[in-house]
Amino acid sequence: MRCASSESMTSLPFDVLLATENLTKKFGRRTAVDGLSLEVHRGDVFGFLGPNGAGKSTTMRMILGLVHPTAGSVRIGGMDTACSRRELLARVGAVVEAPGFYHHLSGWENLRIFSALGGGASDAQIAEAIGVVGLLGREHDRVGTYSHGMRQRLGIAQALLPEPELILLDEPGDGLDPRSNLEIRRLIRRLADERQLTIFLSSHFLHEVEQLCNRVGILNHGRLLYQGSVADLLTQELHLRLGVDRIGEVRRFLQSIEGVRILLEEPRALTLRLQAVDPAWLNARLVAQGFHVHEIRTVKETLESVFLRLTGEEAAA
Amino acid sequence: MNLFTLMRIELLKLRKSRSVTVGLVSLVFFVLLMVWGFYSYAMRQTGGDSIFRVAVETGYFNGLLFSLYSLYFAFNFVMPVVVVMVAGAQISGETHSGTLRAILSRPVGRARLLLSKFLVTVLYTWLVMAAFISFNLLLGFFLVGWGDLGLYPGPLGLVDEPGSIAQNIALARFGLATLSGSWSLVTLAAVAFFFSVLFDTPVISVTAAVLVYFILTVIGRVEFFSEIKPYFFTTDMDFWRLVFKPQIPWRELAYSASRCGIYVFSLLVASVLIFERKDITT
Repeated sequence: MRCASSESMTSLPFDVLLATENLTKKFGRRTAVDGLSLEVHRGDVFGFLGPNGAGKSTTMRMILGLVHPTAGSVRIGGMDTACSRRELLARVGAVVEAPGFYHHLSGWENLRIFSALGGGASDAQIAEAIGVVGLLGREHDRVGTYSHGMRQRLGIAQALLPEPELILLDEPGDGLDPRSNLEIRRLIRRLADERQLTIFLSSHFLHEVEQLCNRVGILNHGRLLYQGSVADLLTQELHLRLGVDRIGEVRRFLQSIEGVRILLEEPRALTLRLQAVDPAWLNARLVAQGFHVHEIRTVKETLESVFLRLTGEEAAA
Repeated sequence: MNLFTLMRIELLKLRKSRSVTVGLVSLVFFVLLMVWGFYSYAMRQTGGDSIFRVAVETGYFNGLLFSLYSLYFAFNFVMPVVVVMVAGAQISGETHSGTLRAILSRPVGRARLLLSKFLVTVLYTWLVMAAFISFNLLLGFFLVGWGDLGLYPGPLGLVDEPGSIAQNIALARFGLATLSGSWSLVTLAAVAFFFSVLFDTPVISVTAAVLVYFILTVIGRVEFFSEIKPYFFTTDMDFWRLVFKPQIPWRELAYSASRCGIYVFSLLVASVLIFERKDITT
């Protein structure tokens, strides 16, 4: 990947810590990531969502320089990683997929090695990182004796050393039992709150992202479908639950109204998606048609439903 | 991150690696089998009245000749595997265990990482060679003592007529052999290292290097394939034994050592070029 000159790059606002511009990766004829332009702001807990094979891990690997982009660029703090990879990676901690460790060495020795590769950390810093992830007392045991959850936490400790601004976590909850998953989520939240770290988190656990992240990017088939705040995403569309009799007739009537789409049909209720349609107006129309409406209420979309809708729409298109 | 720090990290990993332990244990096991073999041979030859000494053609075995034979047999069959086990897993082992992506997610240059790993492999090869020779010499000394190094026509192919090298000179030759032997093995280590960059699993890279070595060694020993023999790196690797000739053929030694150097350099450059461009997707 050629290093882009500073003149050829558009300037980024200071609060953008990580940005990709038209990032593309092709493996032979298959396009894994297609023109991805993302922005992660300082202090964000950014959720990077997508089904398996969407291109999340490839994107993370391109950010870290593990995979060479076919086109596009990655900037950290406004600087192109192709120009100053080593300097920029010193500011980044990462766990890509399952954290890799030397199983025949202790957790402490592993942290000593990986922190040395990042410029070195003192014993106090290593001990602190071990404390933060809750592995005190086990740090001198061989990593081979650790559970999957403990290795995941050691991976986060590794990413915290020596002192990163940005942490990339690839599927941190993958393969963990519910309790370990909850512990990891709490740990990530604590790191964001107490250390003001910017966290870029890929996941396909939507409830995890909904609880943790303030901003998200949704990727499918290598293309970005959405990026922005979780709150905006969840209020983009109005969903309405409608309790009615003569459901078949109501369905036919609603299908004739532009901006109304039936998402779910139950024996005595319909869930609708409204675009530029006022619920009160719709209610009046139904009543005027002689339908008995016994329930009408707005329904909050979940990240899961938005995700399924966006990725489903793309698949349908 | 400077090269010295990277090498220190690599040495720490290597020191606790199981491949190193397995390799060293197998070398000790090999030497003990050699002792047992020589001892039973001596018992058979002398009708049971000799402890260890036995006439071999016109001379006698002593600690130096024992060491030379042990080194010769180990060098052909055991040492290559011991070295390849470590060299062939340098990158592929890290790829397979997922530690390579963790390393390269750090501010570490790929070429520098590769170079540090290769230098540590060279150091390891020399240490294995030096430790093996020292162990044999010490064991030989305690079991039967030293003396002049007897040289006989036979499998070593060093002389056409029986002869000998004085003890002190012979000991110096063993010192030289640590250098010539390790340089020779580094050629094979470079092949294994190259495969280690090429493949993502250590089993494949180690097996590929061992297979290449044995295939070329076997083909190179077939008389009627002598025309193609000079093109095999294994032919040049054989130069290590020249230090045990009564008169060291320096010119021949330098020629083969240089050719080995060219192999090593070429393979290292190819490894760096491939590794720099490689996508770490595992």
